[in-house]
Amino acid sequence: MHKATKTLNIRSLFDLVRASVRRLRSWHIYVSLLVPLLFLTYDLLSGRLGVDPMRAIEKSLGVTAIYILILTLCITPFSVLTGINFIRFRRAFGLMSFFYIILHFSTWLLLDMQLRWVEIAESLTRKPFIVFGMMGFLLLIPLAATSNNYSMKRLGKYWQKLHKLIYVAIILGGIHYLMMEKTLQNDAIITFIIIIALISLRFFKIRKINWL
Amino acid sequence: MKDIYKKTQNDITPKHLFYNRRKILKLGLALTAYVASNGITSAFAQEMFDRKINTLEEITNYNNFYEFGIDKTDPAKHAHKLTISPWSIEISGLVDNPGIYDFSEIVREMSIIQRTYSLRCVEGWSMLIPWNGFQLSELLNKLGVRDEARYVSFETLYRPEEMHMQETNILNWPYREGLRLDEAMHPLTIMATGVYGEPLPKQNGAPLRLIVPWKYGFKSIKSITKISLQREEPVSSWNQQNPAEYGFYSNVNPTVHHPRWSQASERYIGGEGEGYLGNLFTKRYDTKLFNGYEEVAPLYEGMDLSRYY
Repeated sequence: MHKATKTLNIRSLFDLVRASVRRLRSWHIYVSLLVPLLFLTYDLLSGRLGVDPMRAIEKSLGVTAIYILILTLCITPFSVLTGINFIRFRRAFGLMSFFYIILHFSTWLLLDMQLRWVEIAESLTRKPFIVFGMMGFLLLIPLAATSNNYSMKRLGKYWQKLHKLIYVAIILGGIHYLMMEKTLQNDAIITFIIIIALISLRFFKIRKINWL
Repeated sequence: MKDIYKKTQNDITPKHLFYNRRKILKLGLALTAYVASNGITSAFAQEMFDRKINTLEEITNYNNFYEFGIDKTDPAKHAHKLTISPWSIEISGLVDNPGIYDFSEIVREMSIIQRTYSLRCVEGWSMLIPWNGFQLSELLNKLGVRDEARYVSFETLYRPEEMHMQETNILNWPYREGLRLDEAMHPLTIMATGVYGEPLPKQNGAPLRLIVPWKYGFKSIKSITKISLQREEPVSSWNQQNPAEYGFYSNVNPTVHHPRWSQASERYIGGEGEGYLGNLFTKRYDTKLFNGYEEVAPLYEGMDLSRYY
């Protein structure tokens, strides 16, 4: 009897969550994913980014991009497990991650490399950690370009195939992060483990948890 | 008068001025005037002093000291745990006067000088730092280097209780570095005991560190407890960790490719403008061979610098 009540409570809680998720609109997601940028701007203007704000901005934008991409990968398994449909927000997450990658790349090009094209060309060809990052970015361009209803209709079943590139892109991003410094950093290792774990999930058949 | 880096105390602006950026610009002009009045017209000297000298805040809050963490803000956060008094330095190997010396005992014997050097990190950034200390050659001469000695090796303190990263294996601790004897004896090579006329802050390698301005920053080993004169080429920690990226010599050289960072140019930390937004734009300067300290070139005559990087 007692157990049944408990289950019932969790169920009603999830019904509540489901109902509020139903009320969520895509623009809510777009706007909330601007919050990290807002915080970063605030940190910059209040002098919290330290002696070398450029490097802090560059890194923060990259890390934000990769974490939003990780959230994008979480959406399908999360929706299947809980029965709460989040899948319609996947586009918002994907595009916002791409937005942060563009900011990250622009920071590198303008404020870090300062448009020194010879060194940019050298970096893009001979520096493995930059090559990995750039490859990941390039792979995401067709995905961002086809993240609209028109392309989904046009491409049909190929759309799904094309968007599997996200797995390759996020692994490249994870390697880019791992190779950034002189030695491996814990943050980058943890991020890489999360990425690999999420991708491995795709090899298991996940079902909705019954008691939800 | 060739050595523009040698300055007496009189040439040094009082410390409080360094906290004020506007005044630093003035100082820059004063230094340029000083350089000009001494008849030094080398383009490097001009360019070097066109940049402002970094503030104590910048110098003490942005550096690498892996014993305290990987991030460049970690040394400032964690170095306070380091005990620097008492501090002894073990001198061994091919010297006439080996032994364990107290830090103050050594410093008392040395003539303290002031040198403003560019510090070029292998990561592609640089700072201009007013060190004080003594020439390593003076110490070596006092110790009496034996004829058979060819190299000097240095070791950082090993004390995991105070340096928490020494409990990890990111590097083969203790941190070790070395120089060829002629590099060590070069007048540009100093042992720094302070910055801006004050004792060295802990995060910058207190109480005693090496400064070799024509080599990448990691050669300038911090918080030294052991110095040894030897016949063989010493071990250096970064070379051990990744020999393809970090050679024994590690001379600043824009033509030697590095797989991670561009060595053709360097970002000048501290920025060009005022305030936090001024710090945002850190202008890139072309990196010069030997970090611009051309007078060391004869040390490497006949050596293939792309092989001995």
